[in-house]
Amino acid sequence: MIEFEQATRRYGDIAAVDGVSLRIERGEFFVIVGSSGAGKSTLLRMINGLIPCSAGTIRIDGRDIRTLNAEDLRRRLGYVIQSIGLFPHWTVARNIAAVPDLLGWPAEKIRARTLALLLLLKLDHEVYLNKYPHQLSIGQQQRVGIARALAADPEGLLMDEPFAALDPITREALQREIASIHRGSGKTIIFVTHDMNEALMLASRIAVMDQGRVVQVGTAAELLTKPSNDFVRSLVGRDDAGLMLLSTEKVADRMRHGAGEGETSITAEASLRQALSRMLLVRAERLAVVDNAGRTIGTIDIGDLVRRR
Amino acid sequence: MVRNRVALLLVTAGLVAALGLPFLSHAPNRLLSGQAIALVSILAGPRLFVLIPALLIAASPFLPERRALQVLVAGGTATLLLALVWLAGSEAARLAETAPRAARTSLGSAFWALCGCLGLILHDQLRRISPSLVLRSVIAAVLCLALATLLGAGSLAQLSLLREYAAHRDLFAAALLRHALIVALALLPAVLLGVPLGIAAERRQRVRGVLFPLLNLIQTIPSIALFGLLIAPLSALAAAVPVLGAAGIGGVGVAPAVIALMLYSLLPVARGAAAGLASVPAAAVEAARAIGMTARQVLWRVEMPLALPVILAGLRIAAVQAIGLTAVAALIGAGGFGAIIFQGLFANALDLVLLGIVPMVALALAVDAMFALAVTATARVPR
Repeated sequence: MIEFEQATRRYGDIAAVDGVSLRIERGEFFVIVGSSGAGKSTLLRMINGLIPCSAGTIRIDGRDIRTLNAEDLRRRLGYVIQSIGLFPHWTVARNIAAVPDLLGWPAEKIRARTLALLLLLKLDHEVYLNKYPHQLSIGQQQRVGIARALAADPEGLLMDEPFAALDPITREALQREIASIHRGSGKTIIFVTHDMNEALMLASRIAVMDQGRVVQVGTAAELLTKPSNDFVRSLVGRDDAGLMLLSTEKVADRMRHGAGEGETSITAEASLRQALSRMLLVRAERLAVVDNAGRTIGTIDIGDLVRRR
Repeated sequence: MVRNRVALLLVTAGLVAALGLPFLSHAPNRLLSGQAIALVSILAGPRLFVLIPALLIAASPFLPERRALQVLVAGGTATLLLALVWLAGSEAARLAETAPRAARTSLGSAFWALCGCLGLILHDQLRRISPSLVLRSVIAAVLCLALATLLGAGSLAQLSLLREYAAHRDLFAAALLRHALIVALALLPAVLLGVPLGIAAERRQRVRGVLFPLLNLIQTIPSIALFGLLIAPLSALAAAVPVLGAAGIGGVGVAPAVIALMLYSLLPVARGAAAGLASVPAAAVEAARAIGMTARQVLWRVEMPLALPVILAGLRIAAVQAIGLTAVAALIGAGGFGAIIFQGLFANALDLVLLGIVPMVALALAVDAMFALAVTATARVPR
């Protein structure tokens, strides 16, 4: 559990982070959104002490981070950044082993952990273990970056626009990956982005920052349906807020089980937004829903999308 | 059609030198100026085989850019270089058979010009071939070995340079040792002091603002003046602390030479360290801090390994500079190759001067090549 109490960071007269109070529960996928210069990265870096507070307090599991050893604290929190920052003179294996190495794990345990992480991040260990970062694509480098952050089984992950430099296809693949890692591990993830769609897709809760202040905290649905001010409204999109809302729910949440009706099918894992898009594309008000194996398991029609839950 | 303008220029220059300048010079004794011997006049019989690599090199500017041909030209250039050395040696030996003992055959300007041109052609071809680190070391080793064989077999013994060597064997060995000692004694503290200073300068604007102007200022003092400036304080120190005087530290000799050379070496070493650290990717340093490395771990595990090629490049400049400046230190009695050079200058014996200069240049080239290898070997990451 991470608590901010009036946390402030000033540079001269300018407050990059201005009296932020927040509570992030264990296991949350907490996304901080805002335009550039809003203070989101500064706020993230204050958590592991890379940037100290000018005023206020940050507590992790009830303990003020100023009372903790900075290096110990950072080794407990994985860290992933947009520029990735792999160590260019180390192989993939040694990069991933960086924190376990600092913690003095035995070599056998490090090796087993490295192999497990390459498997988790879908990197073939026979190919990648002894490669250097410059031999990898940016997407593969960021997979290694995430593996490095997870290596010592940290309590949480701090991620600063980790996918902003990736092409859309790679970005989507890694978004799915991090969502599945979150589901599988239950680790607290604090994720900074300026991309509202990314926030809506990944977050269990979202904090919107503007000029160093948190202007609204809530679930995706709360932000979309009850934006607290014009800034939030502009961020979630005045015109397509409804479509964004659809993207936060899955077909599986709204479908009717039973025999499938409809000429075209969609998977239960797809978002409602994708379902609507498919309906518009094929000019149908009804789609058959299939599971991952391709078996028909039910139906969704256009009314199901609109209906209040 | 000309495909390699650099080679064409070098070939032309080489031809002009070969035809227009004396290849050797033969004098009745070491103090008189000699009679010029042209290269063409000594080319006869089996020596004409020298023309085979020469023709290949002359044709090289017009050859297509194919690797096999470039390798052939590089091989031909190296062969011709060695052949010219052998040619000079064998002609000197032939002349010595009939001439009186005091007669000297020395290397002429055409020899030096040709060596220069061929060296540059070889360098240009190697750059085009871009051989691996291992291959480059092998080529250098083969060239050195071939030269050593010529020297060892006595093929060059009648050249005036080697005659001077034979006459000053002990002096030469002592000069080599002393020269290397002074350079090493100057570089060691320069590294121990310069690298931390460079790191501090990279970290703090204030240090940078004082350090580099100061080191630049030292660099502008002529070496002979700096040697002179150190005489008074060091003499005073030796007089005040007799233990130091007994240990050989005084106003003249090795001590002021080492101190002055260390001061000169500080600038390239500190600049190299600062530039090296600045070249480390900021993201890697941020990640290193963020995953929980201590400041010391960030420095030793991430920054220093990544900065090493640039630090070594600074050290390379310092080392080559120190080898050259050590020659001047002979004027304050520090010894080294400079002592031989000045002895030759004062005695008006040009060959003795060369006996000091040639090995010094060879030493500088060898040290330069060693550092070049080290820089490449440590730069594992393409930038």
